[in-house]
Amino acid sequence: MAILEIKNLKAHFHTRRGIIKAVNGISYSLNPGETLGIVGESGSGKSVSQLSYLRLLPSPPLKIPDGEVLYRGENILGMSDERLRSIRGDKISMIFQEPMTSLNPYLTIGSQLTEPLMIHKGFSKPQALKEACKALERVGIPGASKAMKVYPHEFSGGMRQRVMIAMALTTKPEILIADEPTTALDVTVQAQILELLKEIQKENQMAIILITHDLGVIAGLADKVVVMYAGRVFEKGPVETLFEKSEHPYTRALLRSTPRLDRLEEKIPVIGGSIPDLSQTHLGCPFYERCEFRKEICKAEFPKVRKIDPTHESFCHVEIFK
Amino acid sequence: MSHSLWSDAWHRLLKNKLAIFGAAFLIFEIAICILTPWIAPYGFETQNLELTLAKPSLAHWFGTDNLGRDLFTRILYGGRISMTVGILASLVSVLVGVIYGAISGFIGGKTDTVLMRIVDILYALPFIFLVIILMVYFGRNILLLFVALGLTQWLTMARIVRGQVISLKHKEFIEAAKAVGVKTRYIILKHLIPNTLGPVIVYLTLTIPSVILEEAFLSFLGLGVQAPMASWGTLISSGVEVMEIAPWILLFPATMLSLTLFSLNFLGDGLRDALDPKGAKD
Amino acid sequence: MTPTPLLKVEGLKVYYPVRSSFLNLGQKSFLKAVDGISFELMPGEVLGLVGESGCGKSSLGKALLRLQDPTHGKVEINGQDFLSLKGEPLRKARPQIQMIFQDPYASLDPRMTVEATLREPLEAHGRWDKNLGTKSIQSILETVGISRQALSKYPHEFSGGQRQRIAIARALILKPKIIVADEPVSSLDVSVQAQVLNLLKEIQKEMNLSMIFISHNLAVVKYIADRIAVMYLGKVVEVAPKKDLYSCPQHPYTQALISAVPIPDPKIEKARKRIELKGELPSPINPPQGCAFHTRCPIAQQSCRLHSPQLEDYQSTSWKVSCFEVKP
Repeated sequence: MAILEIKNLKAHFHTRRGIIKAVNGISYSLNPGETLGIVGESGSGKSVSQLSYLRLLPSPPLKIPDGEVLYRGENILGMSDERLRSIRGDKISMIFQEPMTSLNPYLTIGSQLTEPLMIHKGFSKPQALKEACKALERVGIPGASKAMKVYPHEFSGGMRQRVMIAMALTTKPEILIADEPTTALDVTVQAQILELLKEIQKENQMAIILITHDLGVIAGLADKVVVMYAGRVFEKGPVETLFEKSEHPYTRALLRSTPRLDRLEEKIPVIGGSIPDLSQTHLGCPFYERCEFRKEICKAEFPKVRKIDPTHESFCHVEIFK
Repeated sequence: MSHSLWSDAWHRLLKNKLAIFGAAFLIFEIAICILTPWIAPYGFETQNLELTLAKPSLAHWFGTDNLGRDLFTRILYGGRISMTVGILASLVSVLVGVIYGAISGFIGGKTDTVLMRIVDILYALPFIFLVIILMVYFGRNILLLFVALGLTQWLTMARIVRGQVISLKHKEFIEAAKAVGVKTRYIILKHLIPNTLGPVIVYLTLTIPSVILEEAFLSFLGLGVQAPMASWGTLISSGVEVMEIAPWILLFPATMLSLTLFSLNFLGDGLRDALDPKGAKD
Repeated sequence: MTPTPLLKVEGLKVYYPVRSSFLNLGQKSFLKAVDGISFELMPGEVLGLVGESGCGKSSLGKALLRLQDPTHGKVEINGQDFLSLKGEPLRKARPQIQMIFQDPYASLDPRMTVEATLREPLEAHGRWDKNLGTKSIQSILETVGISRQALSKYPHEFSGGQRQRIAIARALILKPKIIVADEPVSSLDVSVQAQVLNLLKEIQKEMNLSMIFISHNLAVVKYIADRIAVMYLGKVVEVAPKKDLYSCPQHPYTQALISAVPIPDPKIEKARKRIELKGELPSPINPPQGCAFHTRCPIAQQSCRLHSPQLEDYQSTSWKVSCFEVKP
């Protein structure tokens, strides 16, 4: 059974300029122990899709007009704030892109690590300290007991991200949501952190939702992939299928226009135009202006799902392989 | 039609009711101050010893003072002085402060240290002594009053502008201008100063009330404007003397002063919000 | 006859003095952002400069443009000493070498129209022709793919990719011989990156520009550079022609760097064995004794802790490696 199921989720921002449909009807599911990669560029709604139902965004201006988010069959959207808080940080944990802004600069690492344990698991202070120390060691921070007394700014970016991971893991969550966890890090540090995530996932049988724009990171970590664009899901499927047998013009264009280290190219194929303005409503497919396969119908209505096989779905009017 | 940051700011300002109220009131005030010679029902010196300390009536809307002079007229004329002093002194402070702060901030290094230490020293001097000394030495002079007041306000303006310039100095568009070979004085004039105008304008609308208050204070102490001329400060000062028997003599000028200050503050706040580029993200 | 290099850099150092702590009175520490770099750039050549944060690549770029003056070293452009210039002669020499900055949102003055931004360089050097008017600007806008309607618009009315094109136009308008591009596509979305990269490559070829392309993204650099220099803690550890660097990197840091870059191919990624570097990047204020990389190097030996290696030729003069363990 899926541990998390998102059904037709919509998240809109009501601003003076108009309604921004950041997430415009998306559906996907996450199974226990699985890594789901959500790939998209800026404005795709990939982050908002998670932050919204976890009530981590100010609302107003955020409104969730439609949809269901089922955690173990229970709809998160209908939960009381108290119930959500008991799950968030305990069963569902999150790590963010900028560890410097996610960590409280005025508290030591130690106090920030022990907090979730004492709140969610009812640990006593000494118990929590012990667990926290173990967590720091697990994420590869040398001299863990000394590190507990350190303040965030004294650590490098990579170390802070490790601390964030430690914090997210102390309560042994079932789902870890990682929002661009390595985007701000150097590539060698990124490799270390991704390796760490993989190991921890295996140990704890944890499901991961990995949000990123980096196709390489997705290729290395994800089991399943969801491709988002301008608030919509364009394609979903197993990672290998999406990279090798994608049937969506956007996915294919994205793959082609990403420079690769293992290839020598003379010219990179380009996606012309730019990402649409989300405050303008689009009747049809938001990729219409930039799509090489577009047809009249694409302008008028957003495509219904096309099941290419039980695990692979695409949202496009055009069948590229005909 | 392209939308510069200025026109965006303008539109945002127009949506701010308090700021519009403030601006409208100020415009109204400035209009009546300019038209004072034509609309004042009496001369500001005209005495009517039969009718001293009279309550407000149809003949005298705000009543009369201890020499029978029409208070409404006196407030109008007083307004001319207070507003003029306020605006001119603030302009002096802006001119001196902006140039001083921009140069100090941009050049940096030892020049900046020296210039800012001078500001620190001047800041430490109690302004009232400075003005008293100036007044005593040069005699009482309205022109001197606003130069003196302007010179006390430029210090904060200089600090504000310097701070802005320092944070702008390392922005990439400034480095780009340097890389392209633009002369330093043009970088300061065309890039730095226009980008500091936001806080400068806002601070200006907050300086004016400050100066008006200082002038009122000085006049209250007897150091500012000389009788028979009036400023709101002198009017308030005389009002205090007869507060118990004729409270309206204090009430009306004090209210005018307060309304003016509120308006300037609302406008200032509105401008600050409107000019904040982060507001554009809304 | 060997062609003469357009740009010659020798022993360039950029040291920032660091305030010594109270306990270290009298002891001056320096942040060694650039710690002795030498290279040559030929006309029409693109040199990629890669490295992670703290390696000094951006400081090097700024030093070349005299936006941050180097503390030691020599820079020659077209045989002329560039570092000794000051004041007006420096200003007049600037058109030879121009920069494209990383952040398209910050590198354009938000209060100036596109026309004003592009006119400014011309006016600064007396090249603005009143009779020609905006025609001279229009042609450069065409080159970068921006319509002439843009002239009266302000930067915030454009997307990131478009702003970067405008920034490129500004860098080109003085007809420089050398362009230093500092992470020009790092702030852009993937789909837009490709557009701007292609544009840069085209322009570089057409105008036969020499370019120093600074980036932390190895795949992007591979696409545009002819030769690539890898930096670590202010020094160049390896410099090689593109094909050689990516197919058989010699320096252990280069190897680790290349192995760390994820490839958008699940089969390859899942089968890969990565070279993991231990430890953390040392502080550039107190770089390690001996080879700067030895604290994290998988093949470090005793001698690496004591002596600093220099760049030596490996198989050819265009391929240099700075490592005791690499023998040609």
